[in-house]
Amino acid sequence: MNPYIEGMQALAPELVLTALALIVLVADLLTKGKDSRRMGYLTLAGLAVVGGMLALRLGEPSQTYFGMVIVDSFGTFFKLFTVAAVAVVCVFILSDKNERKNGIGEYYFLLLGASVGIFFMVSTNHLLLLVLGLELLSLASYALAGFHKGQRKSAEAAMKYVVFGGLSAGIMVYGISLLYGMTGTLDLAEMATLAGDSIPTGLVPQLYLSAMPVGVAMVMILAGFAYKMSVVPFHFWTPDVYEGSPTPVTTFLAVASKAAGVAALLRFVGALFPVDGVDEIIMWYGDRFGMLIAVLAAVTMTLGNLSALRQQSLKRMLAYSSIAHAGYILIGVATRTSEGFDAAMYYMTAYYFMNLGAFGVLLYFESALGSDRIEDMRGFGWKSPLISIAMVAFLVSLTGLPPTIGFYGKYLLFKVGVAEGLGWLVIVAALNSVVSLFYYFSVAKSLFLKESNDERPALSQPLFAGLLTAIGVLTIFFGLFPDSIQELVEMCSLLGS
Amino acid sequence: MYFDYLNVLLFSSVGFLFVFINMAVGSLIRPKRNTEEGLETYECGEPTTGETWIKFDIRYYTVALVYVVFAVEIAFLFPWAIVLGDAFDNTGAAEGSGIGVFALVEGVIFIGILFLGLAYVWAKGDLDWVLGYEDRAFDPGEPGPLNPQPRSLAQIEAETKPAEAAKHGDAAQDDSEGDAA
Amino acid sequence: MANLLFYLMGLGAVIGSLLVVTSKNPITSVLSLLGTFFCLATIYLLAGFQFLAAAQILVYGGAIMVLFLFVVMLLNLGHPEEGSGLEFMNKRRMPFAFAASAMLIVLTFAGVLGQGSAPGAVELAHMATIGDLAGLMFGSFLLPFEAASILLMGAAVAVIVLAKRERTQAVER
Repeated sequence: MNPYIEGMQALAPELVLTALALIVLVADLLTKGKDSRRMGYLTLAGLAVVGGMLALRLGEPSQTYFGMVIVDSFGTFFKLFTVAAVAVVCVFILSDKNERKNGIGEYYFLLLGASVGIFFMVSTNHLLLLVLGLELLSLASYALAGFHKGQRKSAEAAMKYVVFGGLSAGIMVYGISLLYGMTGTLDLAEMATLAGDSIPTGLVPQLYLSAMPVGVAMVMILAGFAYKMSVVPFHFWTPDVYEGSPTPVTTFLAVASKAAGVAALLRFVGALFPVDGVDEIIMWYGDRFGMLIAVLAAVTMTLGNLSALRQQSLKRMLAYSSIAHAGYILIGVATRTSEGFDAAMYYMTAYYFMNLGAFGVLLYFESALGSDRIEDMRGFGWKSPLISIAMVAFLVSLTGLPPTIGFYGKYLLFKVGVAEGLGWLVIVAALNSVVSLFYYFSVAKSLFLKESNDERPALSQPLFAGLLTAIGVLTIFFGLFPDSIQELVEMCSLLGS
Repeated sequence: MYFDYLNVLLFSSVGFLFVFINMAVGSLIRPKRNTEEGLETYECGEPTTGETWIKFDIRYYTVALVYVVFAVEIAFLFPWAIVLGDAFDNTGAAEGSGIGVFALVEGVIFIGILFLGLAYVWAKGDLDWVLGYEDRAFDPGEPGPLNPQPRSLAQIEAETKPAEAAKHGDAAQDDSEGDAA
Repeated sequence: MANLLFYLMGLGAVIGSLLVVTSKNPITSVLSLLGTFFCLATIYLLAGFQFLAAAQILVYGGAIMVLFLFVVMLLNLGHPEEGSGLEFMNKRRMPFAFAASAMLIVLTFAGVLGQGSAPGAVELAHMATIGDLAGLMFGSFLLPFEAASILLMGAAVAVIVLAKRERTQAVER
């Protein structure tokens, strides 16, 4: 069969998603932006189709198309969760009381465009396609962050995001160009194995010849991933952008965008510096690279948690908490083993559930109270008990206590960390979890243990409340029965199969 | 191979030098009489008001950004146009790639997607330059002698009528004159 | 000859970019940037990439320059007062900017001078023509080509979403 047709078939989910984005845009133009809710329903229907196509592909063997797109279960795993997260974000937009009803069709187009970018990011070992996907995601995110441009905060968020994004993308592309100049290829798998005969191409000869420039390039490329995952020292944008963006967009940035960064980083580290590298010099430098990531992890989680302690606003607190969680996930990356990567993927799954839920409840509070201050949520638990109990479940999971999915994720990360000789990092992470207990539980305390002085009644949005409750139930269910997710993660493992 | 571009180098250097030599010659032979009036900015004989730094309408910026997008598209389409003939014949640069009719299809998809972008900008009205006051999407700014605020017809009538009436002293006459004008 | 031209253009690019960040008048900055772009285009040509040089002038020298000029006009720089966007260039934060750029320069020199070899940067046998580029673009890089169209499309929409004010606001006023 013609390789182009074959490649197109393999890329069917990407193509359908792109077509969906374009259809939404055209449909929005044809209806002149009236009643954008219909665009939301169209998006949800299309996402269901894409999700179905992806689910059917789980477990298929890894194959490469067009020389750069890897269709494997690891990519499908992240794509599935991206589709689910975007669908939940769409429901958030539809339920947002503060959002306009007309003329917001671009909202859905930009979300879908960003998802196409994520799809390319998580399923390639080719640095060119990685950068294209990253840029597509970033461009759409800039516009999404500034979507409420009438509000000063939202405009400021877009501005800060653009400046930081441009800076770190520039550093990353510069590092990639250095790496390309030295190794002669942009394909990571090729880079790791190639050993030219007459001219020393590939990573191994370059490390023997001149490790210094390679190291510089690696650190620069790491900057791009650190920015997407909001890892210190590329985290400065996170609190302001998360706070200024519309809450559904914040959810998207915190969950889908960050996961894309994690997936791309896992592929990068897994391809270049696996713990059982092809050459001893790869292993030697891999240890150094892993140590760098471990140090970044320790700094990131500590800074995120300590800053979260002082926040009055729930949105800002969750922003800092998402920085801290990026640190936890990096424990799994730093081990550079198959088990470590699996643990990171498991924790990412947990992160999807608890953050989608927590940001959803935040949106609910904002709709009901018009404020995101923890202070203003006093006694709200007695008014909408179901949502508030779900919120407590998310908070328990974010802290990493049983019986929730966050506990099992953290347990796996700590276990693999200790096994791979990162005991000090695990101790730092455990201390951080204790710190995080204080600020997560100040929210729960405010919800249930204080008297309300607010007379406003609770919202009646059965669909939205039902979705949040369902996410809450799943958070506890997968905490009690972690095996199903565990099996899924093992099936989709990047290095294991 | 660099000598292929010698004419480009010559052309650009001559273009560059032409400007500077002319300016240098001009400064050598022109009379120098710097009077105060001579140094003033010329504005049809009127004294200048305001500054040359004015805030542009944001629509210029929108159009410029769209222009950038399509300039990049052009840059992508040059190679496509070059390779298209070869791709059909499976010769030249596309030899052995077997891409054939896919090159055409890919190019059409590329143009189609970007055309959709143009259609979007068009349909959203960002290419309409002349807007009514009610559509005008920029900040009218602080009112001042140089920045008359948009007024409705009713307002203008209300302001002009008393003055007209005072001048002529007769309301009926005023009305008929207003109609004639 | 080619070497001399390379160093000349390199010097021009460095001086131009220094002028961009140091000059007080934003229009001077923009024009210096234009000079830098022309020097870069010449360097690309010297390296054998004619299409890249042409695209550099077409896209950067043409389109992006116009954009920068409009941004300068938009910012209302005649009045560098509160809210004009210039206050982040204040003196207190200058040391940070210097530290950051010094770090970048050190990294760059470490990367370039660190006795490395660059086998990826092979010397071209002949000037790379558009045909060569096209062969690659429709050969192994077909997918990035198509992805670029989606990227450009997304950029166009993002631009409109960000740059346009909501009509409803204007009507209320």
